[in-house]
Amino acid sequence: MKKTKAALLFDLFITFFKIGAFTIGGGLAMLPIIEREIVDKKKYISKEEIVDAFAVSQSLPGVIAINSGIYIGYRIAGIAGAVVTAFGVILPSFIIILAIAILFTTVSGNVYVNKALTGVKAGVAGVITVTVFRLGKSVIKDVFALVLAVLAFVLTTWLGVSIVIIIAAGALAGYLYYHIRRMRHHDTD
Amino acid sequence: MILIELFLVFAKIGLIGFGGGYSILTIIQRELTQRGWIGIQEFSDIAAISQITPGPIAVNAATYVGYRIGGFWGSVVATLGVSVPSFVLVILVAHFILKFKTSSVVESCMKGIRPVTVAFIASAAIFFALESFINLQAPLLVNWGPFVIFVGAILAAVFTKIHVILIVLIAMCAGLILC
Repeated sequence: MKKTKAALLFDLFITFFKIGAFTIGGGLAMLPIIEREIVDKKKYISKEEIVDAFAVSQSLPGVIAINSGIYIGYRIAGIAGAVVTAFGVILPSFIIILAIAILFTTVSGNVYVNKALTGVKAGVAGVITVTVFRLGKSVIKDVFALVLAVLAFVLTTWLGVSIVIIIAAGALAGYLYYHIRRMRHHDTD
Repeated sequence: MILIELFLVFAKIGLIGFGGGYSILTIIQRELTQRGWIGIQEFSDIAAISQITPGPIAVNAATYVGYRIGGFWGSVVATLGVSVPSFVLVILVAHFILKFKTSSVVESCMKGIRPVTVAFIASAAIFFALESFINLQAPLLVNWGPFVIFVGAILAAVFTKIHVILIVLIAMCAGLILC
């Protein structure tokens, strides 16, 4: 049975509220959770589409988690979907930070905060590594795609080339390779 | 009026802030200390709080700074300000991509963009590894506590059904003991 629009919007809101409420380490740390909730559990969109959402989120300015939320919400339920996902992902932060800002003043340099933060970062490094392989398996299907991925990794990690430039180059390479190959293929048919 | 100024400053940050939370923190610091709204020490508190609490780092920072400068409504306008540019830009781009998804040109471009994006996610993993257990000055001296947490998180994500959220929470608790 198809869900009503209101039920779908409510579900999107709750899903992104959960993502906003439980990820520590920022937008990048949310990617594994977004993948798990939206692709694996709810099956709203495919693995390829979630990678598209990350590509758009990273090549535009703004908060990555909000950008991905808006893209995914818009893809699933239009403008209304984008509004509920954006509010869903923002609201938990807003409530928690407001409470902290009212109650505490100093935490930096606190030894326990630093230990917990190091633990979170190591854990996030682990779950992101797993996400890389899972998404890579569905997106990297030929040698050309593998070469693009390795090049992009080197350029962004060690040479500090801007993400926007690498994405534009990836688009151009994809166009030249896949589109022109397809046209040639049609010619010889 | 301070609320309007707060909104505009954070809208500007949302518009020029590429690269997600950690790079946006730097921009927030520059914009706010230039205006004399907060000092360096207070900013490092904000940075620490934003990273240790759940949610997007830049949103956390916006809410916190907004509250400090303009009270409750300050936090509302700062948070909305940092999100509004995303809203317009992402919907425009999403609309375009979804509309022309079936065109061979757009599909070919997306096929080139997807592997590149996976590489960015891999680069994010390296970033978190550098922040926790790899030291570039002495690459052979792995920091063992966080490294054990890293390997444990990978094993848990691959071989168990433990939810990602729980894995990160466990990593946080393990950090208190091992790091």
